[in-house]
Amino acid sequence: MVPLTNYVTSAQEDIDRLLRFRSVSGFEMSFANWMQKEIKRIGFSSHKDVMSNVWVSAGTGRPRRALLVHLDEIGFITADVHADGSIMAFPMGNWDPAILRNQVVEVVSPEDSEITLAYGTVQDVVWNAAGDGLERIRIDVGACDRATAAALGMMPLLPVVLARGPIARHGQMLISRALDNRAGCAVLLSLLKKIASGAFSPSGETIFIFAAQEEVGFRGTWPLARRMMNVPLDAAICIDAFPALREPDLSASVQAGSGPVLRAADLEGFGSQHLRSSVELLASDQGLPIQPAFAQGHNQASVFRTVPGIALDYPMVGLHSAVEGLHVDDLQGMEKLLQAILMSEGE
Amino acid sequence: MKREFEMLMDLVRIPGISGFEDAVRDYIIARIPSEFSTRVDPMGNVIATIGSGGPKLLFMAHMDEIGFLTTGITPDGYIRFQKIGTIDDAILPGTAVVLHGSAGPQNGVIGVRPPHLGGASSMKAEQFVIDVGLDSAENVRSLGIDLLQQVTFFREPRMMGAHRLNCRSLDDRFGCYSLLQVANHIANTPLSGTIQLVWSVQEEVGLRGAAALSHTLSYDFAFPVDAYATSESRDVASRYVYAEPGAGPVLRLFDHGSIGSPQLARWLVDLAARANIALQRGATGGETDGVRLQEAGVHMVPLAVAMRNLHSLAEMADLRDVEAIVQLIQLIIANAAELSTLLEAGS
Repeated sequence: MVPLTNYVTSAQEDIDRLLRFRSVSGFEMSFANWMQKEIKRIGFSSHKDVMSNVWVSAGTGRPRRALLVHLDEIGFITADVHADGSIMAFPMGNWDPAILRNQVVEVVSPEDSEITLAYGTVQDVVWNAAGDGLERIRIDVGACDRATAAALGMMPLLPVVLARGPIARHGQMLISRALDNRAGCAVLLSLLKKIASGAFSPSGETIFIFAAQEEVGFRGTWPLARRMMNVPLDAAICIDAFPALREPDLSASVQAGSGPVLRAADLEGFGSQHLRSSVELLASDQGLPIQPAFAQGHNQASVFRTVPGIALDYPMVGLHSAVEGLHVDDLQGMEKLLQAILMSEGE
Repeated sequence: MKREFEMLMDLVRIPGISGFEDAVRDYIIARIPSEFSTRVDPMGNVIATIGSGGPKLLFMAHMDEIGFLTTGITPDGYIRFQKIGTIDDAILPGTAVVLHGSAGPQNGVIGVRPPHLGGASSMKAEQFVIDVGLDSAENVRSLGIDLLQQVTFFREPRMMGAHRLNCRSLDDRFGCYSLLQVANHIANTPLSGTIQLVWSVQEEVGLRGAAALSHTLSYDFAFPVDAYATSESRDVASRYVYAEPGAGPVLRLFDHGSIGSPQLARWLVDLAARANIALQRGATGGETDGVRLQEAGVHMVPLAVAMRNLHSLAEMADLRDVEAIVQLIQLIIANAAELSTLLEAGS
């Protein structure tokens, strides 16, 4: 096994701590509460709104930049308990139905996402009428009737995630559920620690945003963008995940281990060309590899309509599955790139 | 049927597709007590305000209904139309409609190909036309029918069993009715905070009335009052949470556009329990005005009534649920002072 640097060992532990929380969209509250405590422990005072968005400001003056990650993960929500004790659940976020059958899931307490109410297996996967997406899943939690399921605490509107133990390391890859976007949360916390310890000083003001409900349409980001309309921003930078392969492939331009992805464009358009060029130049000057790519998706920065925005992504293998994979070089590369951006004088 | 429901019977008889809410608005404004400060905004939303200070509560029901817009008259006297709002093509052939032309209402039917000639399933959506029983465009125009006029489903309200009302436009005239009932109840009651009752426009075509209001109104808590799409029985496999008509109002916590505030939902459940009002919690498809109201970054939970056959002329709701939702809204208003604690905990 390739020896890990201290950085990667520490980053793996940090991400592992964040993975304790099963933070399905709409159920981010306990993770958000923990995040506020953690930020306070680091030495900053944060804010939280009714959506469970958390944000914290570091530094003063211009440029004023926002870094955006999301607290939530894809999952399911229980809809009904059938007469045979099985649980029906509908998806939150974008799932590939083909990967779900026989997966082990955890039904989680809605009040405390560190508590597992029951384990189950996915018995049936029902595609939607158009045949191009997931309609619902049926989960077996070991109950044979409604009363037994109720005794296990099963009821409608409980969050469900794919079960996964602590983060695993396969060679140079870290493997877990929900690395999208716990890796993003971890890098923002790491940057805050460095700023608090004086390891580096950002130029101007940076607003670190941990948003809720990203996986279901940026519903947390919209109120934040409105709240910040009176706070002129010079840049909004979204840090998220990008589907990648382990090896170069004709069908995919992005490869794990080849550096963070700088989205050239996505379904929101081209973003800020000026900001993109600045980041490319900065990465080149610092000798940091980046991968330009086009994404079939959207990004949170685009919600800040009038602010120059870009998306920087972790290349992620197995995105939106229980075995999302992140290359350790990309983990480190992202933090170095973000630090360089924050230390730069302007966009 | 109880005498108090006469106003609901009036409201479901008034035509008012999106963009044509005038008659509904006139009916409502005439019945808002004078103790309220009432105004109409440029979009056509009705805003009735009473009380002062905080917390500021907003209740919103939409005046518009789904229907059709005339878009052409063929030389042989058929009327082409466009759907307004989400309507399943499968329910259109053979449906009775009312055209609201300049010379008053005219009956029509959406033509259907009989089984002998291939049946409705052999028709394409663009072949659907309205037949008013005349054989030339000139004769059709002589009835006052022209382009860009509203067309509604034809259905007189009728009771089914002791409690269930069947009619078109129950979505969301029951909500309009509920807010009028509440207005009359609270007009001379001491209040904590500010109560805003809003009857919105253009909900069915993209929440456009609410979108405008979310930028111009100030509020801390938002409660859209709308329908909850439920299936015909719990045994029918459905993606979402089944809600039983007659089993109490539904907190519509998840839908395609929003996730209700968990803190506010918890307070509502507790409040209803204290008053012995049965409450259901649900997840369903579609959206409410709450999507736009929530973008202001406030606590929002849609209050709903379980409705079968939603978005058809066979819409059916249980009047006991309508009575209960009126009680629930009054209860929320009476206990509004308790909501201050949620505001303090929100940041």
